[in-house]
Amino acid sequence: MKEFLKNQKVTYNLMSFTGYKALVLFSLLAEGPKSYNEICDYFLNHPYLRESISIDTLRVYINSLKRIGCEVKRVRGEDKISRYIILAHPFELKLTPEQIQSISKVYKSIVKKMDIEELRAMDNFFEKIGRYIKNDKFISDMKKISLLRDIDKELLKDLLDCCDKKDQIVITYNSPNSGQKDIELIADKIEIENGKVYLFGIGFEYNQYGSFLVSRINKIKEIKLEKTIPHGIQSIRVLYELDCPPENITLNENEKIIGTNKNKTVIEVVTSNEFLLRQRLLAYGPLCKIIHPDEFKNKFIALLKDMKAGYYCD
Amino acid sequence: MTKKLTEKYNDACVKLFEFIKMLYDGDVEFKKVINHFSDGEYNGKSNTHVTLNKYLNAMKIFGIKVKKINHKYRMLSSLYKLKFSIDDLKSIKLLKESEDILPEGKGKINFQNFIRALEIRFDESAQSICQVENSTQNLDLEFSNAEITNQLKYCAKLCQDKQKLEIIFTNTKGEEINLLCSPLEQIYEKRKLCLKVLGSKGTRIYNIPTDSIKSIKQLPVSSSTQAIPTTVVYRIKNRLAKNYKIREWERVDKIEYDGSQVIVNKNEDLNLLLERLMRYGTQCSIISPKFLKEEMIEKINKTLENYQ
Repeated sequence: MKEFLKNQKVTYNLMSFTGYKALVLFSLLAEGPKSYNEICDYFLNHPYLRESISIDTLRVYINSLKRIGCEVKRVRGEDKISRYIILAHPFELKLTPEQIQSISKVYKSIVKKMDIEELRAMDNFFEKIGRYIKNDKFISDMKKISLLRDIDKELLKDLLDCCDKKDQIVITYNSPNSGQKDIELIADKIEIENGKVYLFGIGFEYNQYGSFLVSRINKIKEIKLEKTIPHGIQSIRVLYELDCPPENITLNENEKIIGTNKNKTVIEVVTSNEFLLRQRLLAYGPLCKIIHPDEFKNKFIALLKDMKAGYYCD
Repeated sequence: MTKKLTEKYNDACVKLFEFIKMLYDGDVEFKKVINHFSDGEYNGKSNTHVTLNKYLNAMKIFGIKVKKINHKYRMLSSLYKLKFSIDDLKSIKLLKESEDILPEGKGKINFQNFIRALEIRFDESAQSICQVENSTQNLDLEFSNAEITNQLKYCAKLCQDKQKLEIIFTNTKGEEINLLCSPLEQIYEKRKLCLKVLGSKGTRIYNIPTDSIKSIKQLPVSSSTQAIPTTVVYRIKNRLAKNYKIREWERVDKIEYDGSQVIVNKNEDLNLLLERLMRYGTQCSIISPKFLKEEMIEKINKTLENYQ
């Protein structure tokens, strides 16, 4: 072997030529159909073999491959030449039903911690494995677990590209309230919230930052070549206090801590979407107190009173 | 139709491929290999070991890497390779690092065998990416989960032991909570590893983020097996009802004439559920159980108190 490594010359003392030829033949036929002449050419031009193979020897090799479980078939192409191909062999990736069960158990456990890119990669990976093991059910079972199950993968990829470039786009959206409609927005990011995939961006209709369920987007109708800066976007600056230490707070991109006092943290948020902010602050419950501005605070108090009234009316 | 195997074949080829088949199934003892190549007649004097070396060299020159470790042969790179992209490798690594989520036993072994089956089929490019990744600690491939592996293992053990626990953890406010509970499983909530437990009364589920746990004490008492977590019924209406996506652990009980829906929810951490339902504002109200409805009203009242 040392000699081989030094001068790259293969001798009969070094290795089993029969074994080596069988391995070469296996890889040739597993790759695709090969005629006797094509096999001979390959062997003849091979840097270590440099010799042809008789048809009888080829048959012996093919019989040996069949014996170890390879499904070798002879096919005749349009050129009327017979070619050999390995359709199946014992070294293919195979999964038992128990293995599939374990894989889906692990996937179910981690699917919620994955971000959008990881989910896309995992979906593609399982599709690839499904193709290797020739099992469509495996692909569909894994798809059922994925948070991207209702989403067109090509569309998602295009939307992610738009977000990267902060493109101004028109999407056809299937709104539960107003049916199918076109929405123009500047795409910002795609994120998963509460197990759902949202496209975030500045919408031109309401001039505010909003989120759109990706599963409800039918298509990207247009990508504008030139961006128009939406007019009249009204952002508000809200200050709120949280009754918890800063290390326990996960800030959004539009938030920053502007002060701390004992166990209390004051946060500033700038947003054009009051609805999303109200939802966020409601979830904090009694831990959160809005400080500024009064108008937003009063609307929030009115909402809480309506929620309370709802319980006493039922 | 049965396979016709009576034709002339080459015994050396068959032996070599059978050896490769053995290697696909796992490490193979030297003794087993030498017996295989000598048809069980190896007496220490014949030259089977020379023949074996020739086969091993043929495999090596072909590109099949086989290493002898502790008198066992292990295949490191196989005859039949599959192409994996860098994204595929990230997915494999993510799955591999999450195997501890499975309890010890057949399920875990099956999963480990799947990962090994993939790894030995890596093509050259995948192998070199992995080698670089293994030898470069600082290489950031954005999928390192190693730091939570220990937490995962520990939580898996707790769930397997099925003993009651006394957990001290901090809530969002930073207050320490002392909880007697039974461990159920480990889950991810908002991208954080959580230990899902059932409260001592056997009705309330808690998803405790592992990074908020101060201490865990196993008590010499078995976990209760007859616990029934609380079922929560709530109504959603208007725009929320049109948009609402039912969770795996929920079902729609009724759709009213005005489009509002009655949802039945089981197995969710009640504190997290209350947080979620608060977000829905006036478009959601809890119907039952009474104690949770009262908790919700108290939560609203306490929030209102902030402004008095």
